[in-house]
Amino acid sequence: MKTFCLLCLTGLLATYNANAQQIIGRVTDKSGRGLEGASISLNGTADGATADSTGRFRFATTAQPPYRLTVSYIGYKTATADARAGIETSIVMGKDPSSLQPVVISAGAFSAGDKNKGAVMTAMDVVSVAGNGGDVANAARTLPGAQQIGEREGLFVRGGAGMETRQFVDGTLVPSPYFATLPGLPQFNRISSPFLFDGIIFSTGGYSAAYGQGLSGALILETQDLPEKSSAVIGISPMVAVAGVQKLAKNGKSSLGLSTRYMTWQYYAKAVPQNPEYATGPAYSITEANYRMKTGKTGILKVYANFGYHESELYREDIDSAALLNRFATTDRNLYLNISHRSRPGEHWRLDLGGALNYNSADISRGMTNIDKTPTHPEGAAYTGKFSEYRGRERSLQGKAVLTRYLEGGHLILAGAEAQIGELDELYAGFAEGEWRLHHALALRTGARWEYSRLSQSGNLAPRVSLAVRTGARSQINAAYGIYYQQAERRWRMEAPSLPQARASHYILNYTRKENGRIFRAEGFYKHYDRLLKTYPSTDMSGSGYANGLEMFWRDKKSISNFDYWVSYSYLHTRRDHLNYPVPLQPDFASPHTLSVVAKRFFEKISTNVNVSWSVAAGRPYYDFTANHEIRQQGTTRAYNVVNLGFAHMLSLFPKWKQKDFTVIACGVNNVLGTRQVFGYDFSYNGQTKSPITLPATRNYFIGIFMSLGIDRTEDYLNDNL
Amino acid sequence: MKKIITLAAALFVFITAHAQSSPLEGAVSQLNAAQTPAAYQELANTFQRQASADTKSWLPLYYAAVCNMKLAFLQKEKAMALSAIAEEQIARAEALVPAGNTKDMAEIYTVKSFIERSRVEADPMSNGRKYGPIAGKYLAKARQMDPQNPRALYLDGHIKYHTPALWGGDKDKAKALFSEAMQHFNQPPASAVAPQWGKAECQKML
Repeated sequence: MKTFCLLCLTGLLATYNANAQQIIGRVTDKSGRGLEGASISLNGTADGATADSTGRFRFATTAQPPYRLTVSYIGYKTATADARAGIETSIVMGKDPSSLQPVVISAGAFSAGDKNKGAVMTAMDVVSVAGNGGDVANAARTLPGAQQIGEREGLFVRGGAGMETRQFVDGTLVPSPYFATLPGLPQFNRISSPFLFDGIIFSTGGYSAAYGQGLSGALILETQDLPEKSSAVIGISPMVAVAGVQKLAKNGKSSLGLSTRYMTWQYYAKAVPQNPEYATGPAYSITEANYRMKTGKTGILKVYANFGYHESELYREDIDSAALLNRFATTDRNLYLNISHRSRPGEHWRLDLGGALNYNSADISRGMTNIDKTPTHPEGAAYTGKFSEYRGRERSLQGKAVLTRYLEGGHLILAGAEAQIGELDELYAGFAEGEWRLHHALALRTGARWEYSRLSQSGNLAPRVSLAVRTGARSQINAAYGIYYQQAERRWRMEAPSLPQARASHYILNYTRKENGRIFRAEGFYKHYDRLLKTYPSTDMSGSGYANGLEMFWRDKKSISNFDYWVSYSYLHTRRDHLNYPVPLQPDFASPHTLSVVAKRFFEKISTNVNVSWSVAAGRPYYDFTANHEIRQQGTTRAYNVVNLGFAHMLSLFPKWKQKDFTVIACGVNNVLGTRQVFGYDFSYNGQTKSPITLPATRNYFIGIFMSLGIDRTEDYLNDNL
Repeated sequence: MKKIITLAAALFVFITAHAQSSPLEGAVSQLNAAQTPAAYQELANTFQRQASADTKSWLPLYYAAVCNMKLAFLQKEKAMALSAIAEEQIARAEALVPAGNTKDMAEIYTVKSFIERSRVEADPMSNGRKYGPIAGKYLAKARQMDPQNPRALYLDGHIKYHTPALWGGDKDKAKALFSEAMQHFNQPPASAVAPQWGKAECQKML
């Protein structure tokens, strides 16, 4: 009995032992570091283990050999290994490149919005930068590469004039996004409401062959697709009244939107005196309409119309005579219509079609009056240039088509054609571009653009190359090269029809590091202009110039909770010989050093967002040319130093309503410290007096209340600030 | 002799018990006690292995997704990769839930909502607008399918608790939801392997 029992026991133990084999081993990365948490499983069974902190594992199995292990770990390529019971199995795992974010070609570009992988800013960021007036183009000024220009509109990028940065909406060029230029004042951008767009790219150079006619930069805006629900917005302030509705069809397949804004500085100027004197306006009316519709399974049609009206009448003391005033009056209207269609005609294809119509009319009158504003015509050479009547009507039509083919392995090729038909000229362009993922850490974009002007009967070929190399899990190096062309403004081409296009070459090298809500970016560039417009001694393209510089950007929204800030610094060295410059000079819109700091803090308890922006720029040069184009005087203005402050308090006025309202009370002060800003000087005819070009008033105040119904901007604010 | 018999009997019991006790049951009870990322990682691996051995049952995949989702909340820097794994696992689990079983589907949708929420919390600034509404949609679906699901009630409370008052956050409402969830957590689970996690977290909020 005893023997039997013992036999039983031995047998039992034997079967148990026979079934239970010990599998042991260690999982490491290529450097030999243990991978804690790696999952080891024995194929064909539920047996397995998890690696400990040294990467070691041990488990028992009752399965029969041969043993094949599958090892997986997040961010690594799944590995397999053969194992033998009781003998340590070593498993070395390699990083899985597909777990890393794909390299993004990003030299020269800052992008914002959900659609862009390399997003640096969101629409809400744009709104909440103090002092930008909710204007995308203005907010871009706090990014490196852009100058702090306070006396005229436009983005002055890397030594380029304001006209050299062009704006694109859904792929097509907006010929004139600003209202008629006012002397010594920045003008308003008609098509810049951040809530219209969900993709914003600000490129300071090296951009894609799909875009042309911007010698220095591009502001590429993509309008939103269908809204998620119907909504309405109203807002009122002493300067602005806004009302808009956005209606989503019941079937969710189309939407119709209408919004209108009226702005006037009349009442504001009564409370806060301005120089120049605002006799009329500046007053603006902007009406926008949009229609968006899903077509077929993949298509979306977008129609956007913008009608703008502006009038201003300004009086400024004349520099040559204290008893006289300069009068400037303008009435301008513009209509912009953009129709675009995007679809996926096949699994690997994308087709973008776009068309735009633009109509501008401007009636501008410059003249002189006595102090009582009665017109006068003083005699003398000093005054002859101060009178003009301009009546401009400009129509243009554009069409663009781009076909993209997505290839296996993440490559893509695209080709497109474009026509810009104006009253004076027709510009035809064709372009092709390929994006090649040569390696998981290397992406290359090669493209070329060809443009032909019917008026000058000449064509230009612009090659563009861009490269991105991943240097670490979170960092990459980008490089870009490209040639860029831009036609002179219409009035010069009327004078000299065979004028070739201005030409610039960009060379850009960039390092970007992004980690946990922090971004560091450093970019060096060299830009060479080998053709620039000269207006003296004759109108031709014999001008030239160069710009080089170094820019830094740092943004951190993680270190302090509810606090977000960015710092950008730009160094710029530039000379150019253009327009009426007698010799190559540092242009009067180029400051060598520019620093911007933007900080935002959200105080959750009081639902208030406080934002501050501070910009300083070294003094800009100014020149006084004589009538025969010699430099009579030159110098450097004092440094620019401005602090803007903004508050936005969010609340719900009618929380009991079914569609709870979302209301923002916003207020702000620009140039809080009251620093005197000098952008340049106006000179008298004899050169004996100069008068500074400065802000129309020391400080600028803003207060307003905006209420939206049905749409919850909450998420935007919340997510930007949590 | 007696000793040997006892030993043999004990060994027999041990071996058979070892063979019969469901590994899923064991892992589920470990999940109830898990707290550290290492513990959740180990369980995620265990459930995943059980899922590959048992391709017919939704529970192992469901639990693997739960573990990876918990890890995504605990390890924010890896949250996007972890939530992607969880999302893939829960989708496979969903396909295995027998048709018409709304209670189980509510569990699935609750986890789906948790996964989206983990993405929001990983980086509210870039993810909130995209994943917040999806999380809300899944949660509403789960709540509708099973109004008494304690995990859905708990998540509802969690969101209400962490949202500022102005934008629909409500600490009192959150507390009511936590209490309601707690009542249901206190009911014994339908089986030893039925979803039962979340009680400790909910308790902590009260």
